[in-house]
Amino acid sequence: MTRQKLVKTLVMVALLLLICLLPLIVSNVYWRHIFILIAIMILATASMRAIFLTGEVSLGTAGFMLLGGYSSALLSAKLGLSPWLTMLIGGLFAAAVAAAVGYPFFRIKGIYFVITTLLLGFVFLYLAGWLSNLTGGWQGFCFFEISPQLTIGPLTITFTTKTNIEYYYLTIIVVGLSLFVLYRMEHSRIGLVWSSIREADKLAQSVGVNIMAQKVFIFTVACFFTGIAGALYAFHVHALSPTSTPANIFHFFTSVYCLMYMVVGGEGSFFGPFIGTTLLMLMSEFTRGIQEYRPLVYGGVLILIVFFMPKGLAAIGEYFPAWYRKLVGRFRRKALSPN
Amino acid sequence: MGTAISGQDIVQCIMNGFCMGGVYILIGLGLTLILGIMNILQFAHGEVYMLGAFTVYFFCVMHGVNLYAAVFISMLTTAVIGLIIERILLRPLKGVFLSYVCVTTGLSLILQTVVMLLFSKGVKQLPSLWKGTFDVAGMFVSKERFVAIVIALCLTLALYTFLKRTKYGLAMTASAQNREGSLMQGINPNVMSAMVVAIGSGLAAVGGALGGSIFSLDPYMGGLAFMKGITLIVIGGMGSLPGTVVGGLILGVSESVLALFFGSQMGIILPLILVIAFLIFRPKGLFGHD
Repeated sequence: MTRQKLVKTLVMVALLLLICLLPLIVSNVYWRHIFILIAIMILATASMRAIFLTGEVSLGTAGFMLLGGYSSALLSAKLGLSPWLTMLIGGLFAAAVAAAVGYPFFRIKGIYFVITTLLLGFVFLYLAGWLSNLTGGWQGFCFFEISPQLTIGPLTITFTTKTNIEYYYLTIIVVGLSLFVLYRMEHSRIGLVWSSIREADKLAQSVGVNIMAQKVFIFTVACFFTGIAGALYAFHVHALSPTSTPANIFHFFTSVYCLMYMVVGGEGSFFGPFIGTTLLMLMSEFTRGIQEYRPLVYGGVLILIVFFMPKGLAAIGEYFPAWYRKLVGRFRRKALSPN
Repeated sequence: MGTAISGQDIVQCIMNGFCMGGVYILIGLGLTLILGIMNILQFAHGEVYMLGAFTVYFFCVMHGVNLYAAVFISMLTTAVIGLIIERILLRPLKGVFLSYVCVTTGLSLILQTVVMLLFSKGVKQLPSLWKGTFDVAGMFVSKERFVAIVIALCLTLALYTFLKRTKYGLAMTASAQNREGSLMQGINPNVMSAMVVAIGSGLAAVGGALGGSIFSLDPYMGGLAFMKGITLIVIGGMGSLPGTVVGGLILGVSESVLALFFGSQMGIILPLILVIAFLIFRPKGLFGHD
């Protein structure tokens, strides 16, 4: 047991070191852009998984990313507020909207909740296009780089996309802090309450769990982090648009991809979103040559994972013994059958 | 809007609305039946609709088969594809929530890409169902829209008769109402779900053919169609046939009237808000029952 723990800790430390040293190892600006995107999507996927802890699947991820991204970018570009502040405001705005829609939305559950959140994402997308005075309409909205400096003691941090090393570190720090909060929540008493709701909601209610309050709470928290992810994206690319092309990160496809990252990584494990997002996004980068086939590959991987690895890649160690037993059992049955 | 709106515009707009409503109904019927009997939301249903339209395109435009014959062939082919989907992908899952959401979403990605690779990207058009216009009291009504409405109505009536008058239809209704109870009466739920996916896919294929003939077809048309489908099953009440029909007509007409007065974006956004309102305040829909 202790040895297992030691190995786990060592792997964690090694991974952390790798993440921190990544910009020094890979000096290509494009790859750093990809790493930043991966970090942002990990945060979005982890938030989706946080909602799933209560057993509900929300496909509104892209919509709430749009809320966070647009509100923070607009506040910075039009009112000249510091991105440090507006990033937080973007998250809070998404959280406020989530809290407002949470109560009516959680009166329904299962597939109907999926439908509502999916449609809500579309509503946000169309609203962003429709309110053209505010958001720049369907043409999208570009703003110049805002690079304010934040001085903490001897350290001066600048928002810049020139070399994007700073932005990489900013992103991983923000994402890391958010994930830490989510992790602590999941592994505290409240996390147990959520899994009790997922496993048996009536029973949980009978022992005094306020299901509605818990669900609205986790939805609000998760949407806060989704909004932060959107804001990180907005200040990274400096151009937002509500178009309905699949390439747009605020389009519905992002929600589906997040669902896919979650399931491929393994929705039962906290580290599932890491594994799923990193592997699938890297895979899609390495297969740029056959970009047209990408949804085909994604869809195929998703279906195969659901059928053959129902716990996702995070539990990959469990499958081989199970497959082995199945195989051996089949032979054994064959050997026994003549009797 | 600056320009004046004439009576002709309004008639055309309502006719358009009914026609779109007809297409939506054909998609929605399949979705609502599958939801009712298998307790699964078929996320790839929009892609089945797209597949139906492209099968018609393949036979009619590329191989010169008569349009109506092509629609019939497409209906059968897509029903068979539906059977295969049900047997291979949906039946082993036994309705586990997250699994089927993932599998049907993955399937829709696969179908989209396959069709895009086979038929190339551009927007295509099927030949008109019936060229020309009727002249009713000085208003022009295009014949193809009329035909589309008639086809949609006939298919809906046929489905209704099937469900209410035949042995298999009644078995299906029973299975939707109470799965275990109907199992006790000797109704095989697997046969029922196979049948319902086949019928739903066939209807969606005809919807795709009508949509492709009146509007246009491209490999990504399924996404929007799927959204319309879920919109109207929510408005009409899940698993309710009359609700789906009324919901479809309301959706089609309201969309085209709104588009006439407030621009096409409003025509898309308001129905979505309507659905969210429905799900929150009346989750049963117009005709639904628990």
